[in-house]
Amino acid sequence: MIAKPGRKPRPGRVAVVVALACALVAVPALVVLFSVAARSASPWFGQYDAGAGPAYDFSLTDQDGKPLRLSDLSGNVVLLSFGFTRCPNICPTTLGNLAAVVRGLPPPLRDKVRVVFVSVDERDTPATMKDYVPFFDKSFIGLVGSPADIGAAARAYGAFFRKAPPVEGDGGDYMIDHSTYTYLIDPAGKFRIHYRFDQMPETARIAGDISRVLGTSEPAKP
Amino acid sequence: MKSRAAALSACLLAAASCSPAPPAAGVYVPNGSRIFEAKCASCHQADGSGIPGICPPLSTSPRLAGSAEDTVRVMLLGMRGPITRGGVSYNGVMPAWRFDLGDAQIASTVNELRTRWRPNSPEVSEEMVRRVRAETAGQKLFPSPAELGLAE
Repeated sequence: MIAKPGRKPRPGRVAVVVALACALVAVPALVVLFSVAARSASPWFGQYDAGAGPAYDFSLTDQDGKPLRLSDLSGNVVLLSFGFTRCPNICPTTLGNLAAVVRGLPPPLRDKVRVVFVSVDERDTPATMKDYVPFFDKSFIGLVGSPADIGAAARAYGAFFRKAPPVEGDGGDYMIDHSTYTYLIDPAGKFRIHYRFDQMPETARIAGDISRVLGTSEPAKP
Repeated sequence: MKSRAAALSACLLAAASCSPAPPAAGVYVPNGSRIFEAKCASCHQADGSGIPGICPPLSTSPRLAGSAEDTVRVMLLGMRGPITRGGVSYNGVMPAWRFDLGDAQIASTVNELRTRWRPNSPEVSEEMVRRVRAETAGQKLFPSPAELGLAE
């Protein structure tokens, strides 16, 4: 084999190429490692939003037909979700999990938590809410409102909903597709944390977040 | 906050709506134990003891013995309203899982319940769930226990 003069790589150039190749592999790997480490180091189970401001102060109607503003609940942790009483799966599961969260808190903390379920379904009324929310916990608050007020509240929290085509069962009545986050608002009325639907069965860890927000390290019951 | 939550919600909307389809054939199917822990245990409790006044216990449920058709029907349609078990009243809501869980998943979940609390009961088949799903296809969701003949 005859080496071609002039094509022989210079040692310095080889070193640069090797260094660049290493950097191409190492930098993304380090980025991934640091992001995973940062997530696992977070003391919060939910997605904590450190830069969040005051939560939108909606004014809606509760299951007793009385007006209720979010700010009426200041001083408490509010766990807020959007849904509808005919929801076959997401809403009853979420509310069942939220009931378990509340039950898992020691009584002094339990009394500082309000679960608020806002209907995005124009068919829901204070009466349907009054029938529905006690299925999960008698302290839960069910809210309804005009389409404009509900739409404004949903947009403010980044919640989405839309009528879905009629489905099998339920007499061909329509369903509503909706986003499934649960939002935690702190006693000062600031949006602090949101939870994905798949996190909701982890009720003890959500209770742990609430304990932290309320400024106590008292562990929640498992 | 709004923009971040909006983006997240938008991403999740299609996948987490209230009317998703059961998993297609060939996809991973979680076993009944994991389904129970994720979807049932928060109300029925991990030990099957239920919640006083709201959710009846599974651990002593007479429905887990013998034919499982009643249990499968309740899992597919959900249930809402008063029910009495052993002289104790409950009034709650059971989700309807027909849109979330396929036939194999429901069979696996019911078999998990039976393994835990009625270990000598016969195995529930996917075919049986498929048949009950077809039979209940036109029925309204969330019948009352009385409408299902399960009030007592």
